[in-house]
Amino acid sequence: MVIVGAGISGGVVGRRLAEEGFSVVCLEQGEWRDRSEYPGQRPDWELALRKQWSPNPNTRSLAEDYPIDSSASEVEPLMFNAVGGSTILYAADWSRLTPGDFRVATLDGVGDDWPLSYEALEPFYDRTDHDMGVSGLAGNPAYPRGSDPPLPPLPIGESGLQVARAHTRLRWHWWPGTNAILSAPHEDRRPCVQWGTCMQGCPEGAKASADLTHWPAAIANGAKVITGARVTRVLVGPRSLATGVTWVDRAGNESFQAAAVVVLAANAIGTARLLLLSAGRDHPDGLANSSGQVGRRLMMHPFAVVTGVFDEAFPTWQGHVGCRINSMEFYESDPSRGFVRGAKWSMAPSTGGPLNAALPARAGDVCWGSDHHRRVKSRFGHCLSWGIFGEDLPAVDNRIELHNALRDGSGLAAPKVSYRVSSNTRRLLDYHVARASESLVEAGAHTIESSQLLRESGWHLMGTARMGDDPAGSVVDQFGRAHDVENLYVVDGSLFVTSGGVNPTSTICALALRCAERMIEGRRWQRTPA
Amino acid sequence: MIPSTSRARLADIADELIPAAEGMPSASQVGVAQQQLEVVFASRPDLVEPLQRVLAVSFGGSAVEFLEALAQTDPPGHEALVLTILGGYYTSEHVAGLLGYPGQGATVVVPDVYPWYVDEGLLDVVLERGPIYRPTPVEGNEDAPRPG
Repeated sequence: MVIVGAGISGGVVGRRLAEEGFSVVCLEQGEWRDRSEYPGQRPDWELALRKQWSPNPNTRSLAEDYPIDSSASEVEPLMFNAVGGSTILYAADWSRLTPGDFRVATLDGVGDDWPLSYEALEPFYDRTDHDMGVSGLAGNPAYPRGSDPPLPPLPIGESGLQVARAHTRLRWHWWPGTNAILSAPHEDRRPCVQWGTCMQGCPEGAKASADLTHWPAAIANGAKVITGARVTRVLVGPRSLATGVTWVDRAGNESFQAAAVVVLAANAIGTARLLLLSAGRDHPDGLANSSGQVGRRLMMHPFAVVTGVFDEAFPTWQGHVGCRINSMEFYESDPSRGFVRGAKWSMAPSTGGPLNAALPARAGDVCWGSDHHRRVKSRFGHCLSWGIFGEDLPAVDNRIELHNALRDGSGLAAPKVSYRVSSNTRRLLDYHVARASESLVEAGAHTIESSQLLRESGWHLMGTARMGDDPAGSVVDQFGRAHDVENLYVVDGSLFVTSGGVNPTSTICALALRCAERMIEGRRWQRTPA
Repeated sequence: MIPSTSRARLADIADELIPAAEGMPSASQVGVAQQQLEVVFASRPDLVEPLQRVLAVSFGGSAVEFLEALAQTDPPGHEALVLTILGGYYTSEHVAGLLGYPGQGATVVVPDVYPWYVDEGLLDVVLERGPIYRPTPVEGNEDAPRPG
């Protein structure tokens, strides 16, 4: 098996297949990153996060990054290229989709239903929760009663408590955050010590990332990870079977990796790009693209932040960044609101260090002159934020294409992203920003600042090789297998049919594990090129 | 790397943007154009070239007007100037101390298996309401919605 990409979906598949004795080779364009490199332990960390450790590949411009033309997109796609992929920099806010998220067309008449249900995915959610070391509190009524998270919840802190009490008064839903961050020792990993720099890499290794949770176990079972390896195309031979992939190293040397099965785990931009780059005489519009859906229906979760400024002081630079508490009060559709679908809110400290208080990356403005210090002092250690991910309905014109001029460092065509936010999403965010403002005012905020449709917010890449039962309208089946190429699998966020309104990594992991189990079950009947 | 004349100009601009006030020092008092400049460049060598460029620009207005003009004409230069000044100022240990910022650090936490806020009843309202997710047909029994 060859896996393209050593992020979390590749890690889930690689670990499971290696456990079952498959020969696994993973090709990753990035490198192993040592935790000692992570900037959170250095005084200059807030400078480094704006360049070398930015989630925007166009800002980082490292050798392992490929450029993305985002000039036709309202949101910048974000990612990290390394063993561990974007889980190195993610917040680890670990939410499942709800049952209704799999039945959007049935319930709300928009988008499409998924070819599987919450119930079908639930056992895989449970298993990946354990593998990642998820901390949380059982019994959240926003979900069906299921298995308890493997670890107790992380502390919600005084800040979480203040907003939780406000929601109790409002009689609005809240729940302690569920995070893929250890609250207690788990599988040789140490628990969170509240560095507060989750999104620049966890110095403690307490935040789950595939370089810690999956690849070491895969390698112990014989998997091989080749870094600095950029895959250039998937090759297809007789009987429309994939025969392997070609890849180039940093020096430009080209190699061929033969494989019985090819697994794409390069995120919803990288995977779609590779399928388009793999066009050939028999498939001129890209590999596995007889439906014309490759690259289409990109979803990125338009994001809003509502910040409350409080008189009380909180140590907002400390703690897990992902989620102290969440609210799904307004998650499900209500026709009276003038839009369909909803959003989950995650509460996090909002100011990071003092540089971010002076130069807010999200809500708030820079202030100069005699008021500068008053402004910074009133914000630093005094702000709490709701982060709001609104459901992003699929649109065929939101898509990845190959750029006709822009090239990466290996000479490959860069992806061009076209992405427009729908009017439904704009109404949705307007509504949620207003409700979240009420929440923070009830909690005691004296000032509210908000930003919506933040440009640098495309962390959640979904939907460019959607799954489905109908080969005419989807790229892969419900187990990630390409309709057109039966030994080619897609296992990353490209699979998503709709986006839900929650952070997607939990679902990406569960889907990847389900795909891996299908590969294992089918090992006897899987046709291969050999 | 940055000549003394440019450092003097940087100090002038920085002090106009971050003057001494509210018990806090001005930008130049903590060395934004001197030792803190080296801190910034060590972290962000990519800022050197655009900073040199903007400090060579003649401009007759105020520092704020200069920033506004740069934002229109030279966004990378604008970013370099802002980050150099703010980054140099807020990586100063003296400034951090005045703000009560100890820097990022490790704090051991002991999670509650059964958190005290549950005992306090803070989740009672949420739990008493029951499930809030929308029911969907259960596989194998399409007519039977899950409890909602």
